[in-house]
This record gives sequence, structure tokens and C-alpha cells, in this order.
Amino acid sequence: MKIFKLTIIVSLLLVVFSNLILASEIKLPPYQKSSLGNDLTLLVMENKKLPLVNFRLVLKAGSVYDPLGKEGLADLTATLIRKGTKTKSFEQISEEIEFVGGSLNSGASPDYAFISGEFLSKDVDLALNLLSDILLNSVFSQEEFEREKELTLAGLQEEKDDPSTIATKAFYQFLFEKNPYSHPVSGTETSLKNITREDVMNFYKKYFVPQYSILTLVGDFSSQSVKQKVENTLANWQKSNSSLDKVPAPTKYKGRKLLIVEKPDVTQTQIRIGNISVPRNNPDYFPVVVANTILGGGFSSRLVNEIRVNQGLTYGVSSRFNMFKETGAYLISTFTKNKTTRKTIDVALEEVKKFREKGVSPDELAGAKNYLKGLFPSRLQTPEALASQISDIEFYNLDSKYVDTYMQKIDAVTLDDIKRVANKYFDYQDVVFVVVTNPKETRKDLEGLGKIEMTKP
Amino acid sequence: MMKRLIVIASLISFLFFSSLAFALDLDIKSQQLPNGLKILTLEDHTLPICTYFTFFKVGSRNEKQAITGISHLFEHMMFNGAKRYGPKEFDRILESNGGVSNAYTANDFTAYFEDFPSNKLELIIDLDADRLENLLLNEENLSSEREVVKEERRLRTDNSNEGKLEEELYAAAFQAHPYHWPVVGWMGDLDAITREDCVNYFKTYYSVGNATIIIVGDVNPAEAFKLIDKYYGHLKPGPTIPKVVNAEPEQKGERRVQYYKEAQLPAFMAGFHIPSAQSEDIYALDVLQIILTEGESSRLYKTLVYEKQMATDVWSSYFYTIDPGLFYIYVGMKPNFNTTEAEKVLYDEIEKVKNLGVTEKELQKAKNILEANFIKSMKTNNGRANLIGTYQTLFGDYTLLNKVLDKYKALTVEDIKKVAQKYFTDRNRTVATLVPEKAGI
Repeated sequence: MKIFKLTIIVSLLLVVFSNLILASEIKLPPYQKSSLGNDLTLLVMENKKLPLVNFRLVLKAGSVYDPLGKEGLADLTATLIRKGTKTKSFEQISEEIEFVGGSLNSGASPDYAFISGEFLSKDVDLALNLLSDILLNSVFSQEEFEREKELTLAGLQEEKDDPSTIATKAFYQFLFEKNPYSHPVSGTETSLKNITREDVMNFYKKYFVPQYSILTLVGDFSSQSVKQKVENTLANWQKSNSSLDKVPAPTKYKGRKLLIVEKPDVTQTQIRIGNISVPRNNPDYFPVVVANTILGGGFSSRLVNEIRVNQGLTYGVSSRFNMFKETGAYLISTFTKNKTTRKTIDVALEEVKKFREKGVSPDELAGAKNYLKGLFPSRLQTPEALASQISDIEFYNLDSKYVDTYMQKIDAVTLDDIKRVANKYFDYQDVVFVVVTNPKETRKDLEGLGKIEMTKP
Repeated sequence: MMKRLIVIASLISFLFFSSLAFALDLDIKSQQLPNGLKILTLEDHTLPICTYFTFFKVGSRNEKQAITGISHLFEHMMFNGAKRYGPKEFDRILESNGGVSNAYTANDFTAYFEDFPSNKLELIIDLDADRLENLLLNEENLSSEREVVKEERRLRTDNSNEGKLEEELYAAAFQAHPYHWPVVGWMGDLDAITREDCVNYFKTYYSVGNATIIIVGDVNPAEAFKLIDKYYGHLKPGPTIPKVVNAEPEQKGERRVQYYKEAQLPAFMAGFHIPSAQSEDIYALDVLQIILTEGESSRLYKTLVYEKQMATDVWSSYFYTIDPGLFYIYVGMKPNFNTTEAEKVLYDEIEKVKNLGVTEKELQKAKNILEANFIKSMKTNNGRANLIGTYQTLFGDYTLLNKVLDKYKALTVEDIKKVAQKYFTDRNRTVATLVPEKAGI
């Protein structure tokens, strides 16, 4: 009994030590969290490796807040914000940014709108003054509004030639149906036409407010002085009184349905298979990530092995969990020549079925853990990656020790955990399918997968 | 996850128009095995990770008709098993040890890399040496991989407007030189390549004498060298690489091609022959590219997209090549505009540069952007290793990285005007136009 205990201790120690070796070296560099008088959350991290400064402002103003029938409003507002202020035209702004070799982007995702940028650290004042100017003094002129709307409309039309984009976009709409997470971020041709300049102004007033926003700065600067600069440039950003509507979490799709997006010229069919899944902040995060690595994450995953390596059906196949604030999507993506569309779908489903029923081997589990642990440090190499990481911890209310405990949490995942989450989240019976295809060549083969709906890009 | 990919021009050009002062800080150690294998190392102990690149100086440039695409097909085959590590082992072993791999094929070279925890260096060297020495090439894995590559071609070329247009442009701009055919190869050739072709190709080009290894990250150069010697030291230098004949005649008149495709909107690419990477003009062309198309304050974005609102997008592709290559500009049209109008605007803008030159401020902006891009390309181990390997492979001299800054610094507005006049002529132009077969659905 004694010996037994000792053995356990020794192996525990080994585990602890092997973790320490890695974990101690991927400790998240220290950063300061504070908030301004207007309740803007501020995260500041020094990073002196390169003479750069990276910033990222995240606003609770994503496409989930698009009003019904005006999808694309969040993204349009975020894009327009850098197209002219009370004192500077769009051309002056872009010239000012690009003259110093800086970059400044803005746009929306489902959960949030963002303004992000990267400058040489000597230009930090210029960067913060620009950020403050576009955030507080944007005019959203009629001229820029029309120009941007036209450009977005043309972009949407262009997108119809890209089968992969069509497929992914259609998947989210088909899956989330009436839930706000179905909104295509850049809108649709119909919804954009409904949007007026007034809509943009109202959206800006309601959602571009400091109390729901997080500003993160990572770079070669002194935290104290940068915090002061932010205080100086953004203290005048006014809080609003309005509160945000809660975005409802959708429930899983029960049964099967199939959307065929008709594109008669394609020689290759884009395939998406999936269902509604978990939000980012969920207790099963680590088991799901490890399990997904085994099924369709890395290049030695089961899906790649079977569909690409063994059968030569595709150039790329993956499964992933896209996790949002309130919900998420489980999604298998691939493509194959039209003729082998059904075969590829069947093989993918069969792999998921096997994965659920038979579980994984201890070797596979150990391999997936090593893969994730090995990759993790390289994902924290750049200032923007660090900025995203700490911004995400704040936005999604993650454990503040998320990075420091990552290795341990991955290590703690057991075979039982994998089995449990495989059966809970990796669906193959209840799934929705989207294919972008030439139906003349594939429609017949697709019969029997589920209730078929047809559409055009 | 798109692995084993064909290099997309913009990726390379990003690396290239990003070559400034910061290089002065790169303390690269260079070593060579007696068999000719070159090893370049750069230490960075910030994180316990490394990038390991192997560059082979072979690409579509070294191919012949009827085996086009073999370089890229081969890049795929390199992952299909060898002796110590059999079929399916490469990725499994690598990933279960916390590493990831990828590779790409360009016109002039093929590059393989692994990113991994630094304590796995020996394993990585073993894996890479094994496939170089003992690659398995059998009918079974060839026929399966052939299908994978054909899917890649369908994805990036046949079902992509821009991919297809680029293929048409190069095929028209180059008549005699191998840059005529696409890196991915013609579909018919992909079907026709035999196992014997692969074996010959492997014997000819995949040797230590034709390779450079670059390691960047948490590495001890002396230890790495010892390990590489252990696994690669016994390999033979390999045969002399067959010379590539550049029989491309000078272009003496505009060439125009149309490609009819079911598409929403028209688009075109206008390409100009430019000199090889050995020419001093490449630096002025870097600057010119930035002034024309980099960012929303660039000349062509401002006129075509912002002011005239004719185009959804304008960008250019330009990268250094061993033999004279191509600089092209892409313009995607907005609804109700045709390419003829946009071509005229584009050529007017080019004429302005040729006649009036660029401003001092534009030149300074371009230099600032080049410097910032260079610093940004140094953010990751992978970015640095790729840059070092590319310079070594294309120029035969990685130390050139340290001189590029001075090259840019020395440029005057007059230099920019001169290269525009020299290369951006009507007679040197090839235009490929995408003609939509059906109006918008």
C-alpha cells in the first residue's frame, strides 16, 4: 500500500514537473486592468520584443444587434467610423495612417464590433489621437455612407463567385434560422438596401459606448504613460443610459435538413455539416477542444486521415467549434469533385458515428494533448495575438488564469470526458447540411439525407 | 488548415516588399556540412519553441511540358512516408509531439517547415532527414495524392475567378520560359505524371546539395549543427542540377486574352515583364508597387475605387524570381462598369508616373511602409525563417537581408520614374480579362 502511494506521488510529481517546464514558460506576461471614469475597460501589457504598438477596441456592437431586416448595419457602422471626422476627411485619415506605415481596421463579427491597429511604437500618440478622433467625432457623411454601401453591395455580388464563402454564409443562416446569430455580418443585398444613414447614426449612438467596451494595448511602451494617454484622449467618450438586449441562445436543430445552393458552373462541391453548439464560456471547453482535435483538428485527425489520406476525396477537411458569447456552432467543412459529394458526406458522418460509439485510444488522447500544448506558446508570439488573448478573457468572462493553467487543463482531460462530450456535442443524426453544387450532377445522390431546400447564391 | 499549398503571389510579395533595416539586428549563424548542406540558425529564446525550414531550390521553373505540376505534387508526396517513419507517421508523430507542419511550392523553390516545442529538435531533424533519404514513392500513394492535388487545383484555379485569370495571364505573357505554366500544373499533366517521373525528379532535385535548412527560435546553433550532421552527414551531395534555359523572347507588342466564365462581374489583370531578382531595379519596383496599390491612400485605390467608384478592389502581385518575372495589377469591376473604362484609367495613372514621377512624400511613405512591414514580418519565428530561407535560395546570399535597407534609402523619385518608364510600356503588356457569361443571378 505504501509503495502504491509512493508510485502515485512520483508519477504525479512527474506530471507536475513536465507541466512546470512548459507552463512556467508560457505564463501570460503581466498586464494591468483598469477602468476609466466612463467605465471603459482598459487592458495594458508591455511587450518590448519589437518596436510596435498594437491596439484593439472591442465594442458590444456586433451583428447580433442588427435590427431585423437591416442585417449588415453593425459592420457598416464600424466600417464607416474611419471614413471621416469633424476635422479630417477619409483621405486625410488614411494618408496619416499609411504615411507612417501603420494600419487601422474596423468591422464587426457576430458578437462585437472592433477597431484595431498596429503602429511603430514611436507613433503611439498619433495612433491614440486617431482612435479617439474616429470614435468620438465621426460624421458618417451621406457621401461616404452611399459610397460604402455601394462598395459592400458590389462585394456581396462578387462573393457569389466564391463557393466556399457562399457555403459558410449559407450554413449560418440555415442553421440559426431566426436567431440573431444567423445574421450575415456584411448583410444581404436586400437588407443593405433598407439601411439609411440615420440607422447608422442611431446604431452608433446606442452601441458605440464606453461602458460595454474593452480597449487593449500591447506593445513597446511604458504602461503608466500609455494609460495616461488613453485617459487624455478617451475620457470625453460619453456613457449612455441604454442597456443592451439579451441575445437569446438558440436550441439544437433536431432531425436533418439539407440546403442545396445551386451553382451550375462548379466542378467541385463545397460541403458544410453541423449543428448549434456551446458558447465560448462553457465548462466543457477543454474536453471539447481536445476531442475535436482528434476528430478533425490537426493534420493527423481522423477526418483528414480517412477523407484525404486514405480516399483522396478532398484537399481539405476539418471539424471545428466556433464559439460565440451566447452560443456556438459545430461544423465540418470540406469539398470534393461533384461526383463524390455524397460519398464524402457519408464518410464524414461515419467517422463521427465511430467517434461517438467507439471513443478514442489512450494514444490518440495523449497525442492530441501534446499537439495542443505544443502549439499553445506559438499562438502567443505576436503583439496582436496577446492583445486578442487578454481581450477575449475579458469579453467572454474567462478564467483570469486561462493562459497560465492551459497546460494543466488540457492534461486533465480524460478518456471518459472525451466519450461524454463526443456523445453530447458531436452530432451526426441531428445535423444540417449545406452544399454549393451543380444539382444536375449531385441532386439525385443527395436524396435521403434530409428534407431538401433549394436556393441560389 | 490548407496544407501543402501553392504559394500565393501576394504572400511572397508581402515578404519581399518587407525587407528593411531591422535585418541589421539579425545575428544569423551560417554553417555547411561537407556534403554541401547549408544550415542557417537564428536564436530567439523568448518562448520554448522553434521553426525548422528546409528550402529546396526547385519549383515549376525546373519542370518540362507533360510533367507540369510535378514540383507541387512532389511537395505533397513528401508527407506520405519514408523508412524510419512509414506512411501516415509523419504528421501523427509530429503532431503528437506538439508540432505542426506545412509546405509550399513556388516558381523557383519549394519550402517545408515545422513549428514545434524546442526540446523536440532531434525528432524533427530525424523526420526530415528520413524523408529526404528514404521517401516512399509507390503507385498507391501516388494515385491517392494525385486526386488530392486535383482537388486543390479545382479549389484554387478552376473554381476561382482570380486563380483562373492569373493562369491565363501567365500563359500568355510567357511563351518559352517555364513560368508559362501554373505551379499547380495543367490538369491533364496531373493525370499523366508517372511514378517513374517522380523517382527521377526526386533523384535529381532532392539532395543535400540543393537544400538549405533554417532554424529560428529557442535553438543552440552548435548543438543543432551536430544533430544535423548526425542525420544528414552521410548523404551524398546529389547530381548537378540541369540548367534551366531561358529562351523567352522580348515581348514586342501587347497581348490580350479573354476568359469566358460564369461570373458575376468582370475583372482584368494587366501584367508587365520585369527583370530577375539579380537586377538592381527590384527595389524601385518594390516602392512603385506600394505607391500604386498598397493601402487606401495608394494612387490606384484612390482613383479606381474611391474617386471614380468603378472597382471593388485593386491590388498587385510582384515577387522576386530567379529569371525575369511578371508584375501585374488586378482590377475587379463594380456593376455597370466595364474593363475598357478601367483599363484606360489604369494606363493614365501609369503614364502619370512615367511622365511626372512620384512625389517626395509618396517616396517617403513607401519607405516607411517597407520598414514597418519588415519589422512586422519578424514577429514570428516562422516569418523570420521563411524570409532568411527565401533570400538564401533566390540570391544565394542571406546577408543581402542586411543591405536591403540601404538599397531603399538610396532611392530617389527619379529612380521610381525610370523603372516605370522602362517596364510599364504598352508593348510589354499582357492583359487577361474575365468575361462573365451570364448576368448576375
